[in-house]
Order: sequence, then C-alpha cells, then structure tokens
Amino acid sequence: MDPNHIAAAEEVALKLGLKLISFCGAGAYKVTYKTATAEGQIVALKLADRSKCTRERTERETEALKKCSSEFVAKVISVSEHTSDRGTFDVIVEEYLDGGTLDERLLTEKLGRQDIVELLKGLVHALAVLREARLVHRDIKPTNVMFRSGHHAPVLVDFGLVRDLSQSSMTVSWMPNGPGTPYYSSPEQLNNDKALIGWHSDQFSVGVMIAELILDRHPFQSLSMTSAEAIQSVVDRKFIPPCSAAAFEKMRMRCLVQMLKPWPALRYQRPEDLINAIEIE
Amino acid sequence: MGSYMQMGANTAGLVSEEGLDGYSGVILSPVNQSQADLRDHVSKFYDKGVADIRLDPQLYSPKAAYRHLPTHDYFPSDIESQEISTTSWWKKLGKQVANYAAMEIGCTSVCSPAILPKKWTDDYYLRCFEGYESLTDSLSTTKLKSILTVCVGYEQLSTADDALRIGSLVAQTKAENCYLVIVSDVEPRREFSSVESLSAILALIYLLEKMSCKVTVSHCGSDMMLFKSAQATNCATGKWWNLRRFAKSRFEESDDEGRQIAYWFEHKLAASIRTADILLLQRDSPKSFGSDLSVNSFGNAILSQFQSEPANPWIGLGWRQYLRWFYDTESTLNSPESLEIVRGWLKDAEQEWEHMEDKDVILEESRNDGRWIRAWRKALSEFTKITKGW
Repeated sequence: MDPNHIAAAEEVALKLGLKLISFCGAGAYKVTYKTATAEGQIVALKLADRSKCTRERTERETEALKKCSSEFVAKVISVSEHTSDRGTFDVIVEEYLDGGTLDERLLTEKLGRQDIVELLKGLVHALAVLREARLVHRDIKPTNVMFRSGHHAPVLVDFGLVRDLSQSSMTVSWMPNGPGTPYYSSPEQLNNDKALIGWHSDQFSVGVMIAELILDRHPFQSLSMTSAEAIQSVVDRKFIPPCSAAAFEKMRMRCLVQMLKPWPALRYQRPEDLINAIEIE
Repeated sequence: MGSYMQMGANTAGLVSEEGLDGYSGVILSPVNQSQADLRDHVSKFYDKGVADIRLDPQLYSPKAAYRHLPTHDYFPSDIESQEISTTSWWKKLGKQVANYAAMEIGCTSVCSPAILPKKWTDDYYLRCFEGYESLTDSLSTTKLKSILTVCVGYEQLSTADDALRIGSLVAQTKAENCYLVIVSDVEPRREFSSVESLSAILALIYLLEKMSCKVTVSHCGSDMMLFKSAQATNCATGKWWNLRRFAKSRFEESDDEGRQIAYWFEHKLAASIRTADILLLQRDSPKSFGSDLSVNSFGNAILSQFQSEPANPWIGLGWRQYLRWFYDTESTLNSPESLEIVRGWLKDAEQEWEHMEDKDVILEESRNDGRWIRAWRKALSEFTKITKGW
C-alpha cells in the first residue's frame, strides 16, 4: 500500500469527520476504506489519485452513480476534492456494502438454480436503470457485484469505466480493444466497436458471469480450449459451442444463449424482455 | 400490417378512391409538392378518413432530384456544409422536422431525417439516429409518432454481417418503427437481382422485425413479395413504376424521361408488361396470363376496354391495376407462411417464363425476360440459411 495514500486518507477522513476502520482494496487508480460517520453509520471512502486518473473520469463515474437511483446500484453519499502536499484526490463517499463481492460469496457458497435466477434478475434490474440513464457500465464481473449484509440482491459497483452515451466518448477509436475486463467483455468491446456499445454489451457481460457460475468455465470455452481461445471466439463473433447451450438447456437457463449472441441485434432488446424470458423458463 | 401509398406528382387523387381504399395510409412527398400543396393534401386526406399520414422528409434524395424540397421550412440550407457531421446539426434538424410536421403540416407520423452519405459508416448512422432521438423528444408532447429512417446502400449491403451491423446500430435506439429506404443505382423499372444484396436486405428486415422494430419498406415494386417473406410489417409503393426507388441515375435518363407507358402487373410472371404483351400472352400463352391477383376490378376494366375501345389509352387504369394488386398481395402475405407462399409463386412464375421461352413467346421489352426470378428464389434460399440460428 502506498503510504502517501494512507496519509491522504487520514487527512480526508479528518476533514469529513469520518473514522477510518479498515482498508478494503485498491484498483488501478482508486483506494477504498471502510469508515464510520460521527453517527456511527458505516460508509465507504474512495480516493481517486488525480495523477493517475483524470478528474473528468471520476466526475463521469460519480455523475453516473447519481443518475442511478436503485437498490441494485451502489449509492453515492458525497463527492468532493482534496488537495494537500500528498497530491490531489477526488473523494467519493459511498454506501458501504458489507455483504462482500460475488467472488467472495462463491468461495463459501455453491449457488443453486434459484440463487442464480435471483442474481440474474437483480442484475437485469440494475441494467434497466443504467439503460434508462443512457449508461453502460462496461466492466461487469464478479468483483464488481456486491451484496448488502443478509441480502441476496446484487448491487452493481465500480463505475470507473462507465460510458455515458449522451456524452462524447473518452476512448479513442483506433485502440485495438476498448476498456473492460477481456474475460467478461462483449465482442463489440473487444473489437472496440464503439458505435455498438450499449446496454447489450453489459447484458453480454452479465451472461458470461452467470454462465460461468453454471459451467465453471467461460461459456465460449469448449472442452479442448483455453480461456484465451474462448476470448478469441468472442472477438471473432462466434456463437457459443453446443456443449454450453446444452448445459443451459439442462439448467433451464436458455436465456443465456440469447444473452451471449455475438451481435447486439441478436440479444434481448429490452430488459423487460429478458426478465420475461427468465420468468417463463 | 398494411400497404402505404407513396405520393408522387399528381397522385393525391388516387388516395381512398373506390377500389383503392385498402391502403393503411399515405406517405407524403415534399420532393413532389410545395409546402402549401402538402398542407392542402393532408387536410383532404383527413377528410377522406386516411388513418395514417406520414411525412417522409426525403433529404436522402439526390440533389438533382430535389425539386420542391428546398422550399420546405425544415430543409437545412447548410446541407452541403461540414456541419452535417456534428451532433448539434442533427439535433437541430430533428427539431425542425418535428416542428414542421406538427405545426405546418399536421400529419400523424414522421420519418426521421436522413441524408445520403458518401460512405455507409457507423458514424453516419449514429448521426442520423441522433436526428431521430431529437425528433422523438420534440414530438413527445404531441400525438405524432416518430419513425426511424434507415437508409441502406443496395450495393454495399451484401453480407449477413452487414445486416447484423446495421441491426445492431438500430438496436442502440429505442425505435419501435423504422422506415427502410433502399438506395441503389439499379435502373428504373428493373428488378433487384443481386442475390447477395437481396438476401442481406431480407436478413436485415427479418432482424429488425425480430427486434420488435416494425419495418415499413419504402418505394417497393413487385419486390414487396420478397420483403413480406422476411416479415416486413408494411410496404409502400406509388403509382409510378419508375418511382419505385430513388436511383441516382433515374433523372439522367435521356430517351424516355417524362414519357409515360401503360403497364399491367402480371402476377403469374411477377412482371410488368405492356399492351402488346397482354395481347401476345392472351393469344399465344394464355396460361401465363391473368391470375386472380392480376385480374382485379381494374384489370377487368382494362380487358373490357381492349374489347370495346382498343385505341383508348389505359395508363390510369394501369396504375390502378398495379396499386390494387399491391395491396391485395400485401394483404395475402400478412401470414406466418408468407415465405412459403412467395416461394411457391416464384417457382410457378419461373416455370411460366420457361414455358413461354419454349413456345418462343417473347415480350416487348428486351430485358423483360423473368431472369430476376431465379435471383429472387436464390435470395430467399440464402436468406433462410443465413438467418438460421438468429
């Protein structure tokens, strides 16, 4: 951990009247702490180092979160800026999600069909909120899905790569692939097909994540393939192999076949269509 | 599901005429009418009880074919400037078209503005779709419905991936209705005959419909039967066989520009034929002539006139015979079995042409030989293959 960041967090906590409880994690340009307010409310304190990330990106993230008022999206409490001799930081105080990430939940629990269906429905509700706000998360994966303590409804977190479709893109089109985690990314993200990135792209990522819970592998990975080859299949806009489709059929999760289709036009067009498909299986 | 009558020059009188009252609506043509005439027509259409009066801004027309277009209030004077590449230009245009439709014309639905690009890029579509979003937002406080215009280049749309890409771009909008304009350089009165392009267009129609985006195909001719096979909700046509699509070269025709020729649409051959051909077929190949769909009330009137007043012109009846055939056929094809029905029709038509060839029955126009039917049949076959699994 960067001691500079620890010192900066202490400064910020003092300024905002928060008590630092513990370090939660660090991403490429952001660190997160568990803190408590003077009233005893537990909140997440996030510091984005301006030397590593532009203010515009942090602003987009917080603006996006503010646009999404939903139980399925993490709530922003305040946004500010902190400058000291440690540097300049964007400061975000968010709802603290004490139920951990999906990744962590999977370490102790094997999810059954009903758990998976509830998880999928919750995530589709989150996508519906994003779609209405013209936002694309672009980095849906198990570490960005969290839970509130004692609840199984998923909460989407980390909007660091969010794309606001009503604003100009911050990513150049000549890059070979766009932002996102390749393993969970849609073909249009992997090909940096910017014009095609929309809610369908998040739908694909949710599809990969849910499929992985069922298959214990990437859904484009047939038995003789590596993960890298599976991702290449996604890049090449192939359809899922028959073995994956058969497994979804057996699990009565046929909706995954459509969620994982290679072109946005072939996936579900509206979140409500997807919810209906889940409910009739 | 229905047929739309696409307005041309001096067409308004045909709307809701007895025997032609099966059209679901009309599509206005600012190219052919002044703003005042358009307003006047709309008022008359309401009086005639036309259910849907659509405005097509027609900005995709080639410059040589603008005619009345620049006199309409929404026409952007800077259409040739670099500004057309900006979001703000499209947003402004969408708003202008909405205001024009709601305040000046008073129609019931509006197709979004679209221009002809030099290249059919993603960016072109995104800009056009911004115009649609702006149109939709501006109409949100009115009863007018917005329709997404999707222009496609016939020559450029040739693979399943082309159709999937355009469909995926449309998927970024929330459009529930789209107006498909096929832009091509195919000669007037000639049928599309590229198997690749036709199968890709059919795949696109099928895809859009599957996405719950109802398609109205503009400027159809006999190819309407193909579009209905791909489950297009609506098809539009006009009285002029040569108005069936906007070909850049249409206005450069030299010898027969402006000359009107009477045509009969013969369903059994899936072809338009001229006076001499009708007489020839009646005499030498009666089996190839006059199916139920061809011999509508206007067809009967034409045949009666041939008997009683053979020297009289029948061009007006010819338009009506075709227009009646169009909506009767469209209506027959409002069926989940439309693909199989059309396959059967085309198979029969091809056999009729072969039969005529065997009997040395040769029609008046040199290229009116039914060769496109093979391409159409192949396109349907290819379309079925490429959409399998979608």
